[in-house]
Amino acid sequence: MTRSDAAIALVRLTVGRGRLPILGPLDDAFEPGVLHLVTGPNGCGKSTLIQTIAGLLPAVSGEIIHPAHTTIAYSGQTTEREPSLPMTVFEVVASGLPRTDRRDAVTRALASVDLAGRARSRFSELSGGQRRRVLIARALARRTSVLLLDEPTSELDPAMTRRIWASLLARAREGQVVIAATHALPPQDLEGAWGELRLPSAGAP
Amino acid sequence: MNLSDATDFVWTHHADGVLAAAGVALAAPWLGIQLGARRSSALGLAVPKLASCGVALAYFFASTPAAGAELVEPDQMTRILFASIVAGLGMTIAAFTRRGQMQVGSIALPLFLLAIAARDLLFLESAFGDLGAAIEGPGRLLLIDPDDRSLAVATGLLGLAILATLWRPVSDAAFDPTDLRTRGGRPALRDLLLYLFVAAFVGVVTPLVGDDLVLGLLVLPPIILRPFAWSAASFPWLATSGSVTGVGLGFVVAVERDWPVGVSILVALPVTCLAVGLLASPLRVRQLLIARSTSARAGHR
Repeated sequence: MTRSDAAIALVRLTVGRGRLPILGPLDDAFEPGVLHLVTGPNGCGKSTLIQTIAGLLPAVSGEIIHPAHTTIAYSGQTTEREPSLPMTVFEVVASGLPRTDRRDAVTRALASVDLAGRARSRFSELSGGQRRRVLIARALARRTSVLLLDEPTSELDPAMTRRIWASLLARAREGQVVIAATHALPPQDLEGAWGELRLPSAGAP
Repeated sequence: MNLSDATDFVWTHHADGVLAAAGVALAAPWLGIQLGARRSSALGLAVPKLASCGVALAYFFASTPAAGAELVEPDQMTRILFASIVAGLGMTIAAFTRRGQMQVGSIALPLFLLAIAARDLLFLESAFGDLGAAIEGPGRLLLIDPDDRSLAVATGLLGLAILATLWRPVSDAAFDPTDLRTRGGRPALRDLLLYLFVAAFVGVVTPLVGDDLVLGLLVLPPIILRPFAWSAASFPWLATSGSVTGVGLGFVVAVERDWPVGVSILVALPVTCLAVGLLASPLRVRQLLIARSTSARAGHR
């Protein structure tokens, strides 16, 4: 694959907080069909890289190249603030979806994270792991061309971790570009291809 | 007319005021909910006081007429304009404070106190100091003329229509601004626009029905009814039900007890909000039971 074929290409990309570089320069390409895992020790810049690709942080230098029609869904480690609106799980997952046939999309997404029975529950009354699964379901429901996830399996039990990896591998097989920052790798027996971009520890040459 | 006359039930005296309060009650809780969703409930205290400070400012400027001109009270539109400008200024400061990650309460409460102090001093220094108490407190007696009643009702209906239409995008910005940004949205801009909308709404209605009533309608229904709401979509309708019935009950109490209507509404609001919450509680209880049973089933697997 050439860089121009990739759904997302990083060109001499340096990422950081403000003007302070944390990681880079990076040259890499993320193509569809493969689950891309960004791994590395704490503080190496995994989340910063994911957030920069998502457009939440500006690049310190370099470029992120993707086709003009690219749509991105991002699932962070948590919501930005403790929710004080009594949003139901359904309302959270449905946010950003068009009104037409959102019910089916939400139902399918919740089933893929084993929360089909909690659609009417209040999001704020779920456990940390359940909230994480709802946010993943929200990203899955949107059917974007790129799916970015930050530590998607933290706080999850082994069975649910396996289920989430299976869902993400399935999405990659369907042609979505899936990139996840993670410390844990998918079980080897799951169907689907994944690749690892291992980042050096912070301060390493 | 003295206080005793005003508190005697005379339909023509009170009907316009009650209808105006009902108009405000249609939309104010929706705005209060959005402020609460942004951890900015304290702005619900500050913004009506800022608006009343604006009214005082209008009187202050009217105190120095051009040479040879007669001293004339500012008309209602001028009061509304000044109220909206001062409220808008305060809300703009609050919006930029939030962007700087400062706690909103740490700016809202000083704004609240400064607005009260500035309002009192502006009246004191104006040529209308004797009118101060009556001008500051239209919400106490709610003696409102038909034009002002129509304006309050129209503002409430318009506010309700706008908020009901834009509820989802406005709520999205409050719930998860990061997610909105990944979708190309601009949560900070939406927050600023919401704050300015709050300022405009409060700026229009405060000179009509008084700052205390607006404050009560902004703050009380969302706080009391939040535990009873079973979804974000149901919450504003529950709050509006509580606020509108609060206005109605306040009117009845005023008639029965010969109390000032504005004060009666403030007393009635918590009661009706709690009653609405209790009526809605079966749905909330059902939600909790379903949550518990699905958790239990998941635990068994």
